Amino acid sequence: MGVEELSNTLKVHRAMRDLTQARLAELAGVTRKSVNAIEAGRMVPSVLLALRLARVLGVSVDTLFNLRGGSDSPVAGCE
Amino acid sequence: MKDEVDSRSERYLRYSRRGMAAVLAISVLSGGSLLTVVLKPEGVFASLMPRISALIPIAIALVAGMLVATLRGDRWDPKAPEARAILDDEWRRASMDRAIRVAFVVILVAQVPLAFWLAFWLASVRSPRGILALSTTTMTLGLAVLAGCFLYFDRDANDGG
Repeated sequence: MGVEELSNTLKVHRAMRDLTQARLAELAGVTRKSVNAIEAGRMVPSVLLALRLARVLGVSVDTLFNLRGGSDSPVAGCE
Repeated sequence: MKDEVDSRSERYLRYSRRGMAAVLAISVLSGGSLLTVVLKPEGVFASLMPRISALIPIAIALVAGMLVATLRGDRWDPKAPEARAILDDEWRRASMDRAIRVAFVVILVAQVPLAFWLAFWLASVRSPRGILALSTTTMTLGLAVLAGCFLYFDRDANDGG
């Protein structure tokens, strides 16, 4: 199994809605530093924050965040 | 852009970082002063200490006043949404958790070399001073590493977006 890595399209969706990091942070109830750290890939947000960001940007969580690498196959018996 | 830089959230954010920098400076200065007095009780600094210690509350009040002045007429309201966002912020919490872990490991690892160093330095004196020196160094080191690491981990990434 390869190394898994979380990537995100937060910056793209934020730019599409013409939001600054500070404004997005304000709407999601966090600081600009959190948004900055998530966009730069330095932080993995909690489920709650990921849901909040997705709601503010009007997209689903899996549109914002992707898991790269590793095995794509589901756990046996869970298909 | 100016609005963003001057917004209340940004002012609060800068205020909280400056507060941590002040904690770092005060802990290093006070810990260093105390350690100097413990290690060299007959030194010049120790003889000046009674007069200097009278100035400490004034210095702390001055630093606190300077910190408040950076809010530019605003005041820190812990119930304000901007303050809540800072206090509950995931990135800041993660940075603080990492800083606590680093400070804890540094303190643990530093105990043995500190004990040897202080035992050598204070070989001729009674043990209470040695214990005081060790505890002062430990607290100063712990606080300084904690605040320093927090400020480092909590910094902005280059990607400002």
